[in-house]
Amino acid sequence: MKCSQVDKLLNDYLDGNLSPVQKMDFNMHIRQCKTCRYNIEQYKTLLQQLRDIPAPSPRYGFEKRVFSFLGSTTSNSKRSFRISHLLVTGLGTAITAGLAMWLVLTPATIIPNKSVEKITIQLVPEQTKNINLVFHSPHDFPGATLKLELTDGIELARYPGKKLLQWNTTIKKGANRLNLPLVSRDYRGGKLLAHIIRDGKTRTFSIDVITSRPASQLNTLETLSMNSFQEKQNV
Amino acid sequence: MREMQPYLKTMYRAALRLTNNEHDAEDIIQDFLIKLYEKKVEIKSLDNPSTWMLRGVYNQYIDHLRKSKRNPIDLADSHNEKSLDELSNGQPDPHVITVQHSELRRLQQALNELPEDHRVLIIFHDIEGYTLAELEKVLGIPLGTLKSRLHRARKSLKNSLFMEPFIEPRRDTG
Repeated sequence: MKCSQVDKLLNDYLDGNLSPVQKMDFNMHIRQCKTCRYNIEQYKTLLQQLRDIPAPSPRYGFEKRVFSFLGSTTSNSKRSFRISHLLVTGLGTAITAGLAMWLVLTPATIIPNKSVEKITIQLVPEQTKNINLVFHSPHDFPGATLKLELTDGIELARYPGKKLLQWNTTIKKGANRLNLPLVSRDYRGGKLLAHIIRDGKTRTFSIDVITSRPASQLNTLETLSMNSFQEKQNV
Repeated sequence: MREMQPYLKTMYRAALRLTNNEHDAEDIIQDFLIKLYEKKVEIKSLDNPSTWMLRGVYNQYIDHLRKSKRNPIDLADSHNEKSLDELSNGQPDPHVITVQHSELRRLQQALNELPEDHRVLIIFHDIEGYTLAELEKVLGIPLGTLKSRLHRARKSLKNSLFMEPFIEPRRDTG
């Protein structure tokens, strides 16, 4: 068996789907070929790591929540269920985030130019933090544009590398929740600007991001930077 | 509808692995159950309930993904007014704590960086253990395509996790 054939049969081997004869040939090759053996060891390690990812359990009360609509059969009561369900979801996300911003948009305040609301949040690099921007509006505002601008160093977990995002949307009557899974890639910090644009006028919300190290890593990181400094001096 | 109970945790686990978000996972399961309830589906009459339900959860996830791309603003309840202090007392999510383990975090990150069709296949096949024959029905994709996709997905994941600083040595046989 050649390396190219080993590569072709690799997944069947890893999944245990080779015939006894194929398996024998396969094993004979990897005993002789160091490169293929090394490659397969890496695949085996990868598959083991994937299998070892813990199986997440639902949060307390999950079954009760998902079956909560069963008690009602009319469309109205199902609708009530959906609304309360949205409420629970919105609240739950905000609580998990540990931070929520409640901003009031009234017909008078949505329009003014150069109106900027400023907020500062703290992130630990590479740890996603869900930020909820909640816009209260007394009326529906169709045809609005939502634009997000991010500086280098921060991004939204669902849109890696994107620095400018834009959607045409309707700001609905009531609370409009915008979930932003923010992640900082380094220690520089950054800024996120959320613009709501309607009829050529803009309202901007500015979120300053500062970054910090998790307390558990402080000593380790400081030691590492000290070591690299000493090494440079020695050179 | 109570006959769904034995499958709930498996469905939730699949939804959570797909969304990486507990609330979205619960939404998906709930929406899926509402559909079953409205269509009066009888679980007993299904040939392979677990595969059938995984397909339902996956389709619901695709719906969810489309909606979230189309409009990033969700409608919350207008009476949902809580002070900042009330909202900031949440406990860390246990799932989040678990993935903070560094090796696991690297793996999770590499997995999340895969193209969506590759990520889904790794989740269902390598993590959840569904066979490719089962996934042919779940995802509605021919077996041959799944096999070549799995090959590419595993290779990308391996390369991003075991990145070599040097060029791979020449193969000594073949």
